[in-house]
Amino acid sequence: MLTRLYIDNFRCFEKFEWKPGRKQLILGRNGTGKTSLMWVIQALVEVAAHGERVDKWFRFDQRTRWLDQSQMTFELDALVRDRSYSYCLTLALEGTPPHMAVSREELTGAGAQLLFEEGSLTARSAGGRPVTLKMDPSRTTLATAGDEAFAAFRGWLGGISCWHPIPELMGSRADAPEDAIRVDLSNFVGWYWSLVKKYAADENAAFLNDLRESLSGFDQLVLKEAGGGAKILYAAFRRNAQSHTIPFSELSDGQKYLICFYAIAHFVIAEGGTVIVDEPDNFISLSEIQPWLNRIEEMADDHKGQVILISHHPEILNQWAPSYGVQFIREGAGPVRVEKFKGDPESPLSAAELVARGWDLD
Amino acid sequence: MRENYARAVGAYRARAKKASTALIVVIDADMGDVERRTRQLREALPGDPRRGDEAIVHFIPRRHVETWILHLTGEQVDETSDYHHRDVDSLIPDAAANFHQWSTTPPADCLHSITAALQEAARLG
Repeated sequence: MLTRLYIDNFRCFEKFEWKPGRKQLILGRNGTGKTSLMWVIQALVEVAAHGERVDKWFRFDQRTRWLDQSQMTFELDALVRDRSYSYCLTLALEGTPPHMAVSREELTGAGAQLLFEEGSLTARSAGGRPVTLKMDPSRTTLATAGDEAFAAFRGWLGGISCWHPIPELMGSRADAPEDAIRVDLSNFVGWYWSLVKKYAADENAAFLNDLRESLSGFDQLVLKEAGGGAKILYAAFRRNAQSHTIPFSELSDGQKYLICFYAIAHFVIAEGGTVIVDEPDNFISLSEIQPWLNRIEEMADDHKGQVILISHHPEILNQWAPSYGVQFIREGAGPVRVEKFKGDPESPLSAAELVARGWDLD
Repeated sequence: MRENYARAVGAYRARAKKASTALIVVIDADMGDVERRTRQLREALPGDPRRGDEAIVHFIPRRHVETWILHLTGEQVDETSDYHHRDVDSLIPDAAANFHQWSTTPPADCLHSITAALQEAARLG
């Protein structure tokens, strides 16, 4: 799980430090960096775990406006399989046209160290001799380092899921199973196809059982051959003892959302993964939020997963803010800082009512 | 009403310990009078009444808030007739400005419920 994130000289983050728990609700008014935080994490996943070019994700004009500083710094601490890791990535402004490139990169953990600086990489395995290589500063070295200790951290980092679902982009058809799911969940069908192949039937059955309790009349999800090796996902509903199948894309936005969110609970959080969801409440009705929250909380506790929610919804605030809430606070156009949600134990007002009155920051 | 009032007073008292806070309660007297509503509010806080130093203000329009708005903008009204269906939205800014002005110099023919409210407003300091 992510235990610490430090960001310096990126947009509204100046010497920003955040230590998330296993369950975390991020609160904050508009413009306090909540979405930028998710963007940074997504970008770190792409460059440090998936090997994308650094300048594809980090641009020189994303440096903090009020700082005259060429370097951006990102530090990420994590607990992976009960081992602590610390990763630091420093990017510097270089070349013409100006672009961001790796100037320093370091990963320590599990007795190993990976250090890139001044154009050279030194990798030292646990108990092994250091190996020095010339490396390309346009990409991180972590993404390609072969050591098992690095691979465990990289695997966890690559598995971080940042989601901002867009139901109208979710189709019914997939040409092939897909191991990774996109930020907008638009390839849910391909991802679900890979899950069905990967997981035992009882895990899928537990997922479908949750859906039966949440979606009125729901019976099954069925993948049917569509020719050319493709498949189409249907949802089967029961009515008057008869089953009706509906293509996934024709479900309501809320129904798609619920299906995706219970899949996240059962197949990502239950695998010990870190999940970050922006506005999970957009399409879910009030009565559906609490059971889903209870389920992801249970999954995170039982399987050492991590759930980070960004939400303004009163139901989510009331259930999570008192125990797991943090406030992102920004005065004017200054830097963002993070504080634990304090609430007011003496007040009869709920967490959501305190926030609505602006009394959460007293 | 009693439950909401007690809850609002609880929230006021919790916050007033750490920040400048006021609670303004606005409730129509309807067919009753100001004293009846005041008694009901007092009874909603058994054993823990509103203290003189608390910025908890009771505005109790009689018969209802439309009566106040019309009176504050110069119309002849009484406190028992029903003005509930009068469209008064456009009169609200002038009514509010006059309410503020009357807090220092109320007119001789000021409605009883407004006079009581102006005395209450003194709690805001």
